[in-house]
Amino acid sequence: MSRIENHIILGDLEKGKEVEITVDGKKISAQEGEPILSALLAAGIKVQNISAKKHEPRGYFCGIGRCTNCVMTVNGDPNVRTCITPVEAGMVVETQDGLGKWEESK
Amino acid sequence: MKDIIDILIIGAGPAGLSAAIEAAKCGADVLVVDENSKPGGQLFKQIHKFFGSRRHKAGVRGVDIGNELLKEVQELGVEVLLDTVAYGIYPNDEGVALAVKGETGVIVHPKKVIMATGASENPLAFPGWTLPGVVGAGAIQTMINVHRVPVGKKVLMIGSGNVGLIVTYQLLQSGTDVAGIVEAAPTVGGYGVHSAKVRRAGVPMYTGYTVIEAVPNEDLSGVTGAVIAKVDERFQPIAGTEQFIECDTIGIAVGLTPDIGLPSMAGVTFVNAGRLGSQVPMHNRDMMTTKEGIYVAGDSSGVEEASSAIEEGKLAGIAAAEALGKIDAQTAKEAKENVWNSLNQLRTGPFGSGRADAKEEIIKQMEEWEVNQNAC
Amino acid sequence: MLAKNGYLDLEEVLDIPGFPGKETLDRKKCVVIECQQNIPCNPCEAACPHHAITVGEPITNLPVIDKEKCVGCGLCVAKCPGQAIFLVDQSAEDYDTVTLPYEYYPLPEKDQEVYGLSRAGVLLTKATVLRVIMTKANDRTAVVEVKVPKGYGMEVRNISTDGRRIASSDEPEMASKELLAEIDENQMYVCRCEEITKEEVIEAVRNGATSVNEVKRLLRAGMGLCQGRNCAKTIERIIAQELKVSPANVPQATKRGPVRPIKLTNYTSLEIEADEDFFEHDW
Repeated sequence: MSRIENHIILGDLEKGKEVEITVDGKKISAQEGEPILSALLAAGIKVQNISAKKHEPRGYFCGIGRCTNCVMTVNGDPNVRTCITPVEAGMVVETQDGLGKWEESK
Repeated sequence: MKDIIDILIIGAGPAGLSAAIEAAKCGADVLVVDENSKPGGQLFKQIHKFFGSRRHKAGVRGVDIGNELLKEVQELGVEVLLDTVAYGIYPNDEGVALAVKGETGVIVHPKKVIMATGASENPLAFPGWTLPGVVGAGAIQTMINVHRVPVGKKVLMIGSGNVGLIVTYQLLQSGTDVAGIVEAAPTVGGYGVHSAKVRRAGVPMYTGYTVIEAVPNEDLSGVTGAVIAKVDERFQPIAGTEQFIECDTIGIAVGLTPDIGLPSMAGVTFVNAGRLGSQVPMHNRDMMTTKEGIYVAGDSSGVEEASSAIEEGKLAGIAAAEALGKIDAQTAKEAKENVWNSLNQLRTGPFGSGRADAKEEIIKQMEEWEVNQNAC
Repeated sequence: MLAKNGYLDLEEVLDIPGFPGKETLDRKKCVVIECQQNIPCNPCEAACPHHAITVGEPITNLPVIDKEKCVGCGLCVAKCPGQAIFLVDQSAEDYDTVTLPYEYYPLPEKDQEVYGLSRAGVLLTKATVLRVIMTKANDRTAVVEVKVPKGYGMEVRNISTDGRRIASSDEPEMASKELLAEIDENQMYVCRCEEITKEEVIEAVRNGATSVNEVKRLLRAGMGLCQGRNCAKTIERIIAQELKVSPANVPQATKRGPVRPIKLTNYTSLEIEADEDFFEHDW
């Protein structure tokens, strides 16, 4: 896990409640309430989905919920913007293939 | 949520919060909505000290200005509804549609609306810009300063305006290496003091260069670097000057565009305001648009800086309260004059005077528009 | 040159009113304000308890130093939002000192040997830390005084404690022929969501599209998840280029609600009565 722990302006990182989420079958730790995306970046995961037509990896671009490049399938719902969706304990996050498929929400 | 809303303010950034403070001080019932889970807009990402004079809170860091504004809003008892998107405004008094907490749709009928919706980053298309690792400078700022996660080990910044320079500095402060700043123009775009800070920290400056490719890694899951090239006077890359710069992240900082989705829906008239934006809502000295009762403030009324957004927010707040009869014309006039003096001060010097001219042009066009309306 | 390189050359510094003159610095510790751009800003003026710095009206004036009033206290150094204020002392026979603002971790410690860097971030010399001031009034900007070899007082403008943030002397390598052969701007994506290339947009324009909306109807560019937020400007530019008009004259895409991606429940939960006129709007 890599986070910016000490910062001359922002001070030391205040850790929130640590929880676990599952990303593509692998468990990673995350801070409750932080955007899913930041937990992924802390774990070194940069690819969020595979493009629909040309099947190329894609990652976040705007980081504030506008561009939709960071969408993933979260708890079975496709097209969830991970940059603005807060982490909840036990979330199941999957790299989305193309436009994604609706499964029965878990 | 309150039943009667005198003034609905959309956006809780520097402009929106300042508008709320002024309007509430005049006794107006104000509701502020913001799509984010925290108020402050982009202020909380600005961890550097601001320029200006004492009245502009110069020398104070953006994040602390944000906290001061929030405190004032709370003390005045202004309601700020977060996670709430104003997603539409409809004609014939059908109101403004809000998506409250992401789930519930509500239509409100405010007497006045102040749109302080900010700006969005301009994209820059080049081969490879869709690869993971090519991101907006704002995204970098959000990740390193708000969420405290690194975006990569070595970043190449495209664009030397103040955003590019400031984010470069903040990357260095976060412990990230910066491979360089690429600027197509022959000169640095932002303030010299911002560029001097990153230059003396070893960041190379490539003025007169453009990026021609983000170079993918083997499985297209990221970048290994960028190819940059010198440009001719028409900004076209010159063959034979291409260089490879190693990096794992490319930041794009090529300017901002006013967010005008809501003003468009409201049917306001736009004007090409050059450096402030090619489509900016026409507005008068009170920040009111061509639609009675609809005001704009901050970057959505032309891209400037947080300090000018604060002043414009104040203007809109005072003017809207005045239009509702919450304060008398004389008091309003004095208050607005005071703000205008402060605003004019910010819009001086080699960087500011162009913005002052562009703003005056918007206001002039609005005056002409008003004359034409009355003639019809 | 500041404009081209992003930092002031020594010759430029010597020409601005923030430079107190060599004879002053050879005599005592004095402030050097490397501020050259007339931005509206004046915290330095109020920062000086001895009134040695004047900006006045208009506040775009460059700060002017009264070199006799300056006592070299350094209270102004952390107050400059542009971090353009330094103190230089060239009065000693065998060394100079430089006081500079510093906002990186780890902070240097007294007596630590650090790297002394130029305005271009180039390693010039070793420097020894004389003092580190981090008061509340400085608001997280440390003020660091270093001792540098004689002659470096007007050269050293930054330090590195750990060997990081130092300009590399290596020029980036030239891009290889193989790498360049792979670059094809026509195959570049314009619309990220629908994966529409520049070549396709150009073809649409050559087939008669003159506006962003027409390109959208032909190609679906702008109809993906982001709803044109990322591609509209690029498409405008390509149309302008092809038709040889100004981008401002290219008809822009229609903007409709919802102006942000929202859930459908936001519509279905609305408590509104739908009379006939209602459906005439562009919902």
